[in-house]
Amino acid sequence: MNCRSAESLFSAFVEDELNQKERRFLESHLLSCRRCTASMRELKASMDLCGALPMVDTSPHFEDDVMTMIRSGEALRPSLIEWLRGLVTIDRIRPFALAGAGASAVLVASFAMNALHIGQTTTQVAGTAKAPTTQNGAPAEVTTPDGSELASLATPEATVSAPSPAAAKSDAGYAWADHNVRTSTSIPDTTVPNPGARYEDEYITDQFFLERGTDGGNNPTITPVSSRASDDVYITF
Amino acid sequence: MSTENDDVPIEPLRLKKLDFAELTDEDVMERCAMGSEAAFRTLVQRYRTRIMNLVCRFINDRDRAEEISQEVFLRVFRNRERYRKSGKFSTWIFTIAVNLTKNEIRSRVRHRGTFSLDAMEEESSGQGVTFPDAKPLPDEDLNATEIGEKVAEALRKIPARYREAVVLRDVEGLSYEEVGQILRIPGGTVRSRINRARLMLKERLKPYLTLEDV
Repeated sequence: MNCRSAESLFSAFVEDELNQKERRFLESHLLSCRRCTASMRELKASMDLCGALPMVDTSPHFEDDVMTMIRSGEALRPSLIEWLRGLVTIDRIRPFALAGAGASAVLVASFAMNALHIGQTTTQVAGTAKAPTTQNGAPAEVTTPDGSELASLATPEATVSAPSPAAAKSDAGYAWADHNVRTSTSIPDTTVPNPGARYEDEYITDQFFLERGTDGGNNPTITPVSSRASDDVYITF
Repeated sequence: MSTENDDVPIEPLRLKKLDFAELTDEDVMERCAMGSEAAFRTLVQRYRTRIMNLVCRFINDRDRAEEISQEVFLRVFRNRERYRKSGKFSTWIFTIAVNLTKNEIRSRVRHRGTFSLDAMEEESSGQGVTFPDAKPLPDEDLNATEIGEKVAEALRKIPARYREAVVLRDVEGLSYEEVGQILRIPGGTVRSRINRARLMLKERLKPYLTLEDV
């Protein structure tokens, strides 16, 4: 043990707060170091001097002054910190805390319900994608711009396609709250009274939209949003 | 219509006057929170000297120390309903006193605006800034009052963070745990600061120490 580490133990030694091992080390150091021994005695003596300091008393009218200030009321105005602290007492914030906890519970429940619906809808989409039909009864192939089938928008197993009117009707009972997958419920019926009319395009996800073109919607394609100028995009919500 | 009970003299209802001297600080404070002026007076009487002493050890201005001490008791009164009996009253009131004193020191340093040795020592973290006193002759004969003044002066000269710890421990006699609660620092830091403060005091008081009795 060197003098520096011995010095750090002086107070604890004087107050008998060292454990046996520390005490043994310090005592063996003190036996061999006269400087530390003297320093320890000085420390003890200065502690005694501090403890013997005379108390500084208040003036005789101290108590009366305090009581007068309380009675007059002028000294009882809370400081800014006290006033702010009073605003956030437990009793005051309890109603807000309870309301917040309730709102959080509702949010969590709604997220859980949405997650459940997404799972059910994904299964249904996979089921309806087996037999997509168009106005002419021909299968409506949904392809990406590179010609490959868009096969995994929602889950690896699901194949997303333009749903048939029957599929759209079957989806009507579900609440599609997921903002990233907007597919069947808002897609209008593909039966068009005027075959020459332009179909409105539809966002499927934030990245892709369904482009039906002007040929009666017989060959809709999935197109990345970024591949077209924004003023050409028709969005129906 | 008279009955036997009408003849029995009715004992006047006597309220036993509470003797606050028998109660703990926490019990007295509880009664103070219920609006007892006598309870509050009891607390003022019990703590006024300790609080004044504590504040005086921090700032070298007796008049201002008395004002701060009065403010301590006013805060106790204003916040009497916020006091929780689970905590020690002494810890609570000393915390108020230490906080008010720290505010006073900060305010003094801010308003001085110019270089000041006292201000620097008050604000100093104690690392590397020490100005040794002109040491008196070792054989100088000092009486108890003079030695007390030297000790008080030495206390004021050590950096605030060490001073507050050692004053609470060695002058006010609080436990390490209480000192930690008041200063909001962990126990290890309390011990370290107190040891460091004692070593600083020892260096400053060396000329006045008589080691024969040690």
